[in-house]
Amino acid sequence: MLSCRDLAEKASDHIEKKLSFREALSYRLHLFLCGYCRKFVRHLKTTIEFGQRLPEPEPLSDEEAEKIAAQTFEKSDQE
Amino acid sequence: MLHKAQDEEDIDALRRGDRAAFTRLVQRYHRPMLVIARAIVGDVWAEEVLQEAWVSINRALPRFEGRSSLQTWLYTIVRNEARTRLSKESRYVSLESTIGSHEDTIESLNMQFKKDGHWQNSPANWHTDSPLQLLEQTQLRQCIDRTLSTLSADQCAVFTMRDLQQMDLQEICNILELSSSNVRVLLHRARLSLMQVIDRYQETGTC
Repeated sequence: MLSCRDLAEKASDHIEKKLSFREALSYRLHLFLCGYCRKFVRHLKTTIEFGQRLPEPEPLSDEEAEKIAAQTFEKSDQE
Repeated sequence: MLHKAQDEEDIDALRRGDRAAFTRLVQRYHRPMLVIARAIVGDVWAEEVLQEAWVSINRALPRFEGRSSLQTWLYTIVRNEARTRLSKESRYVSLESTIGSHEDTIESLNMQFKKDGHWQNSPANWHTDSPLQLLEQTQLRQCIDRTLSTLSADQCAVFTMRDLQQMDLQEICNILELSSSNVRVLLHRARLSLMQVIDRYQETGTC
């Protein structure tokens, strides 16, 4: 039987469907019986969805991108 | 795969060496590529590695056959440039060997359990479980930005590739040359760090 600590460590693997059949079964059984772990997993899933919806870092400005492209073309021409 | 449509639109122009298309490519990918370079070579050489990578990319684009996505192809070139740089500097340290060095998050998770592995206390109640509502909290977003900037470079790279860019786990393993289990450990730790911030924010209203 998994402990709560084991479950907390395996939670991302379960969400990513990377547990073996036996591990997944044991995980789900524990979750069925343990309200604290259900709450933990609910919070983790919220966190993952939150992370997936975060905007990517600001793209480079036109000027920054143009500068890097110019340097690249200049270097490529030299070689 | 967030930029797939734009990549497909630009690919012919990129193969022809079109400078405007190349500039757009730089604009889309420079920052995520920097995250990958940092994970492999660290802050000091990351920018330099990226400059070299862009030159290699520009040179190789006419031969890009599209067997992988453009994104994966770009990230693989960055990885190769980063490794070349490390071997030049004779300081190649595989990411695999650094995995165990970021234990803070796991430590702090472990403290929440009794010796027998059960929770000491119930995880805190959250006022909201809605990611959309959480995203609207400006202060929380600032806390998260700060936390992302303090993640180890390898955690940040895996988090960026998996959760922000929703890349396939196996692709991430291939690019970073990490085992699947290590990528998953890094990902889980990054997610736990974010979860702790949300937890604290829900409880105290601050970072």
